[in-house]
Amino acid sequence: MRKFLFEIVALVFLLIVAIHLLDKGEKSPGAMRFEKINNELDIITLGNSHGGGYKFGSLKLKGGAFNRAGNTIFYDLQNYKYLRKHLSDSAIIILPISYFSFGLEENRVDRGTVNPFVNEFYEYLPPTSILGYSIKKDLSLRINRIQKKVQLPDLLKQLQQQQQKKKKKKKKKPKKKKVQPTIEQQIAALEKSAKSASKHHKKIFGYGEPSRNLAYLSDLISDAQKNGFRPVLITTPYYQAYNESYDKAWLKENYYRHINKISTASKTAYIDYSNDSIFSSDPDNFKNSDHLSKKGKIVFSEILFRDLVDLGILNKEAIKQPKKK
Amino acid sequence: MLFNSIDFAVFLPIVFFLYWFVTNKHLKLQNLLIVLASYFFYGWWDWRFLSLIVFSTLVDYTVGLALKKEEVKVKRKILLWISIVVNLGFLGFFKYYNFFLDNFVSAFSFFGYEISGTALQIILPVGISFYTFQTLSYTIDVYRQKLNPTKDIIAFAAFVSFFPQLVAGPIERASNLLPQFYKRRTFDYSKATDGLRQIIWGLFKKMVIADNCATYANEIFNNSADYNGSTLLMGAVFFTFQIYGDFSGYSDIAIGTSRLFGFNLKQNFAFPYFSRDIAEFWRRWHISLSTWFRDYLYIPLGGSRGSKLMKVRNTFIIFVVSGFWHGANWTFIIWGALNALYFLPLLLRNKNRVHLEVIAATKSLPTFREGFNMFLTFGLTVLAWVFFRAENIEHAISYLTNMFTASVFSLPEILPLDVMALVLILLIVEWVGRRQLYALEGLQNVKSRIAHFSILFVIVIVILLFMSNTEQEFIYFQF
Repeated sequence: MRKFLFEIVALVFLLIVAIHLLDKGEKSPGAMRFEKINNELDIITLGNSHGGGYKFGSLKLKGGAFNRAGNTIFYDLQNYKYLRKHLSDSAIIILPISYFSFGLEENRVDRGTVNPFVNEFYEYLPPTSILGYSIKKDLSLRINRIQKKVQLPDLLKQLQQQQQKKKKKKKKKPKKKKVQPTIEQQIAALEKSAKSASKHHKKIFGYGEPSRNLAYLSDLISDAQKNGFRPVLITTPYYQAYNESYDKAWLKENYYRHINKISTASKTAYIDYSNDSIFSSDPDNFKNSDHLSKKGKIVFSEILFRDLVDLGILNKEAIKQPKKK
Repeated sequence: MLFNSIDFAVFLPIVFFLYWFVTNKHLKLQNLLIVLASYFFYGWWDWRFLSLIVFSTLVDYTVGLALKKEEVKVKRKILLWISIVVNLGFLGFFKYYNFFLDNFVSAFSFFGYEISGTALQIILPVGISFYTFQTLSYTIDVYRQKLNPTKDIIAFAAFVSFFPQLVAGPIERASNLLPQFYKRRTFDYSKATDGLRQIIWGLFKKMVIADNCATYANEIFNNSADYNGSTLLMGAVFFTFQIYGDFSGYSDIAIGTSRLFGFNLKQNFAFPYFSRDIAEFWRRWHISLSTWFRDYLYIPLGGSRGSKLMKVRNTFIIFVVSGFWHGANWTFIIWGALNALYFLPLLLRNKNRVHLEVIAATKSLPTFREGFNMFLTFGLTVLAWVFFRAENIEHAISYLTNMFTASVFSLPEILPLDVMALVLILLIVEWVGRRQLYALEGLQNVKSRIAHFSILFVIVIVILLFMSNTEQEFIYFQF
């Protein structure tokens, strides 16, 4: 019996070692952001896609965007805990909070039972940071990652793709010149996107429990303050049609009541850009109704950093002077 | 609980530990542990249907004891029929109620009588076809006085519900399995290692071969109208390996697991795709079911004795009933009938028992003629599997019609080289091990423990690297 048990234990042990070794190396780009941090960070952003693309290059500080599309406050808290060791003393933590943030369910169950939303967190967060962590899921995700590395190329598919490319080359039509949309077309597109985005955001709001999300946010802020970091709450700019598709009373009850309460209680700066006059009426600043365009991000970064200086959170010297042409 | 799940990977060591370290000194306690573990294993899927197993166990246990006491022929027959009606009644209700209802309604409407029936939303209890046949065989054997009924209800409950083979066989005979519950089991290193090897090989067949083939077979069968003939042929071949890997893999895991607990189950698959004719195929495919039907249906009907007409009738009955056993669908019946058609020429020319030995028994490669016959038999089974896999008869016919067009000679639209390479590995390993009870049995002759261990480790790594991403149920669970 001993011999048999020894062999079984050895087999399982070697298997675990093999899985661990084979799983090392490349991970998804989202996880790599967290795993490959070489410097101490002076300023970071968390939050969902609304918190993306700030131009930290215009600062003399080391910054990083750690937001993620669809992210929940629970995982903002977990990501913050993960990043804590990489933050410099008195680092600035920008916390973009969206209208739907307080109503999101932690693991985004609204995305279905398979729920790939949490998969990326399994790649870098410790099990204690993942709500409903399952060894079964962890193992199957690891195996999936390993399998992707050893997957043989589908030769037939490649052959077919090559043939299709050849055919396409033969039939190549003269390139059409890219026509810039007119301002009316831009506005129409933004209004259309505002309708669908707000409808979706109101729907996903209903899956979670606001009191839990408020608690996560309070935890994040109080821990950050305790460690000497400087959290800042913001609402990013939205196109006016997006704002108009929300009932004001609804926003007051489900958003402003909570964020103002937290800001006051924790003595944390809160800057609301949702109706900023420079942004909300200029379609050029938006990729769609609730996300900034490339140009919008540059302009917004400048405004945000300037406001942070005004609030005494950011040093004026930290902003690079624009190069003279 | 699925064998290829993490749940089972946790369940098995716990039961193993309790079996060999806690209850090992008391046979009854060990048997009781098997019963409880088996009920837990089954209840993991749906605890409500445990009542069916318990009821079936109690009925057959009581009938068995009553048969022993009763000497009046008529009363003995009544007792036998009680067992048959209860067991087949459950099976008939859960598996065939809606099928018969639909067909009665259609038949009456064909003759101009409109009748209505209420179809029920019935969940088919997993493994019902397997354990009802197992427990029925006990009662029939006791009735025929080939077996002494047991007084030990725990041993009998363990025999009916033994978790390794409860939900998908092999369908064991009481004469083989039940006495093993009466004897004290001692741990045997070589037996346990052999069991472990067979489990690993079963997992390879299920998780690597069957599940990967299933991905392509499902895609091709579900969208058969969109693919050319050669792709449809590939789909049928993929399903052929899917069902083999799935079912024989399950049997290997079941037999291997039983060996870990000191039990010996009978071989259920003996390399059927290396058969040289369809009769040999049926001696090698799902052996426990084929022999069940042979002993309890074919022989009582007269078997191959009597006139040619009787032989034809009996052959058709056994194959059609065997098809119907798989499911309440005309596709299974046609699949059975088609196999009967394949089998009949051999039976009528008395050539159904020509190939009793394994192919190339003393050589490493078959002769050209053997190879050709093997290829032909394989081709016939591939065609029959189309009926087995299709949604309905129309689907099967359209599948075959689209397959046998000029496009069967064109390049397949789906040609996953990695899966084909894995199937080739399976065939090579099985060919090398075809003289044994399962392909890896020969590894017991490897003297070096390290070499033996390394081979097993490599197979486990191969399973890990190439297993399908989706945890799929075993096909035979639905039967």
